[in-house]
Amino acid sequence: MIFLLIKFHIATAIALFIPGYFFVKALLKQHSKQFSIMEWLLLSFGFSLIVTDFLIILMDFLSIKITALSILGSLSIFSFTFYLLSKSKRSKGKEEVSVENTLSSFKGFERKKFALILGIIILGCIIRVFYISDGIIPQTTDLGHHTYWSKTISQNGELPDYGMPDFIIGEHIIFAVIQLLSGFSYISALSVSILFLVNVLSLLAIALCAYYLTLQFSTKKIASNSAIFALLVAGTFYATSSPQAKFIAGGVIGNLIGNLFIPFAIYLFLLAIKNKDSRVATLFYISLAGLGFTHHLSTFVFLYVFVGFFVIFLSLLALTYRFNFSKLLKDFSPYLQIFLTKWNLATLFLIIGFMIFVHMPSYLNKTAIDTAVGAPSKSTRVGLPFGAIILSVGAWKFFYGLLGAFTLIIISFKNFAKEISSRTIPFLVSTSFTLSWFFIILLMSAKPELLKVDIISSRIVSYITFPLTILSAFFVGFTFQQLFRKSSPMIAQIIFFLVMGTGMISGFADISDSVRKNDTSKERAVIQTYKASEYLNGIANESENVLKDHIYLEGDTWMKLFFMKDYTYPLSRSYLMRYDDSVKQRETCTRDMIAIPHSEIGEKCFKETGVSYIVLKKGFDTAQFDKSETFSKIYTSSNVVIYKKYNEN
Amino acid sequence: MKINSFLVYIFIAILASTTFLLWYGEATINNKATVGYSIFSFINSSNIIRGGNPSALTFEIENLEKNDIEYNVSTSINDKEVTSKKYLIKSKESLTIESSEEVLTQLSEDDLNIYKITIKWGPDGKNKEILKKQIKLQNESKE
Repeated sequence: MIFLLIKFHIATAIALFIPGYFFVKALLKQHSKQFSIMEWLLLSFGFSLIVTDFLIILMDFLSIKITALSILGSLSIFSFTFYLLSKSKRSKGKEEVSVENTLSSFKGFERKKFALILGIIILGCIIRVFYISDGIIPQTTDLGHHTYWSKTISQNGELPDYGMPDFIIGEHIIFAVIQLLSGFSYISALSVSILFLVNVLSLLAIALCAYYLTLQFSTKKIASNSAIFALLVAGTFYATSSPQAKFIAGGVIGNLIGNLFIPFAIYLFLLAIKNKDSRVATLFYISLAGLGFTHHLSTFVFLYVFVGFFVIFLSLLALTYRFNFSKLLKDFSPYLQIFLTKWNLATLFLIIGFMIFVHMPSYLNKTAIDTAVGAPSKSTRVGLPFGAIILSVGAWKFFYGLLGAFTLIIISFKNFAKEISSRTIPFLVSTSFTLSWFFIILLMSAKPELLKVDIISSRIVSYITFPLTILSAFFVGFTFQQLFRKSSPMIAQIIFFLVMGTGMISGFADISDSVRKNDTSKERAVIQTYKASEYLNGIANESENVLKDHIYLEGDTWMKLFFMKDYTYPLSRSYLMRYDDSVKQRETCTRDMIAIPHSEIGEKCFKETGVSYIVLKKGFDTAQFDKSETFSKIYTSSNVVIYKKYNEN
Repeated sequence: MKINSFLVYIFIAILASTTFLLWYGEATINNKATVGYSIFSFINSSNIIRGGNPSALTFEIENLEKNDIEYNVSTSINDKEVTSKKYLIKSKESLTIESSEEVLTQLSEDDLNIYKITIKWGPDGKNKEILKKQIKLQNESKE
């Protein structure tokens, strides 16, 4: 076990920290010295994730079998190459321009408040670990489906052909890589541990995002306070809510990685604008590619936010410059140029070429796009009422986030009266991005028909939590900066503790709502499902099909990992409402073979599907099989029963 | 606090968290959740006894309870009890039980019918069905 743990940590370092570190170091030359430790951590992790994904896709394209050795080789070669590049660039760079102040703003702030940031991160880790460990045995449906594909990569040494737009390769590569390098079983806490890392690093992304966004429309002190408040709100107050620990435990891989890459990309975009640095713009493009290869919904949400940003930004820009387009273009073009340098255009073409010739994300096809764009087609996609949105994100966060948004709007209007300066465009970019991030997702969640969004609204709403975190943190930071300056310290302190106290109560109430009961009986039930699967895998022939019950069996989605025959093996009886679909005709055999096995329909279904084994939860829809003369009961434990259809041969 | 110590502390927090999650996961899967029940299963799913080979009726009991258990197992053919025997199985151990001579003898009296074999377990007189199988007897000479 200790050896396995050591291997896991080494594998994590090799795949999730080292390649990205050298990649950024080589790309940014001596500018890289200016990053703070927090930024280095985030950049190393984010780009390692992207580099690992792209290297594995490339290996598969070149028909190189994906094994522990080949992964180790390719990651080592990559890291060593970029290490050499970073060294060579550095020696040449001695003669280059001084970059003392280019990227250093976060560095200064960080030194003073290390302990606070560290304390929040440690507390955030503790809350998450407690929450996740309560249901540590892998059992959730989403994670089961994803882990099947990761195991396919580990087992076959090549990337799978999904045959459906629901899964994207970036959701599975990293798990396969860490599994192959560490040797941990998939039936372990391997996946949630990796997701935990992703979530903790996304906290750093959100803090950095909060800092760089607020820096342009407030003072450095407010920006640094906003970053700390954002870390506090996302890291501890709402640690277990939807896009965080709950998603880690549930294995909502795409959303979690998407919620890392969205603030990550925004952070790089802001940094590129702030420093007018085309190399950071390159990193921004690469981070977008990482997002695109990881999660369709996150990419979709980001694109909407980005379009919204452009609309708001261009409107504000025109108003600020009072429609003096020649001056506007003169001031704006240097910012545009950093994204359109030869090197950056080449990067864009490289990414597009990679998508066309090497690997096209499975969701980039007309049918999948048509499904997501258009008028809402189902009742679950018509938008959520405000009450449901508030409940989903937390009342405190929503209230102060809304106040933050209004404060920002007031600041924007005030800015129109000011003289145009070198800070005007970065100010407008930050303001527009913050407002777009919040309002576009709010619209997508509440009124999707206005934006022609045809996606389940409850999934979209989880993306609003981070902009709300930033806005609420900004409001608290901004208001109390003014309050502490203008009123007596005692009154300011009382109000401060009142606001933070209510935030703590709201957030921790969310934690106490989310805390799951330490129910070992459920864990035992899951293990029994695993044991039944092992048994079945040992006795079922190639031609014999298995039907299991998704309604009552615990951890049943993970059964497919014991067979590894096909994504749809074993067959599954789903929730009964799913069989009544007015839009699309559904097969009903999986329902009928359990509900009415002896009927004409049931018999016909058994013949058509080749089902020989039925796996059920003991005491749930088992009576017809217990009484039956044509079914043998070949396996039983306190939770799981397996029946075999009588075979004349 | 220096920058380097900040990095070290963050890595310690992450390392400690993931180590705990992985260790706790293994401990739960292998110990905590693998206790408190018994598993009964036929060693194969065949429902034909060919040439007197009783493997279709061989079954296994896996005792995953905390204590050793004495299993009082009875076998019935077409709802008529044929054998009853006690097996003491230690905690976390399993036992493979082959069909007794009495069962095979009873079955061989008539090889045309399909028999319902029921294996029950429980306290004396209150045995509940745990496994059942429809069995067809097939002699080699008849094939």
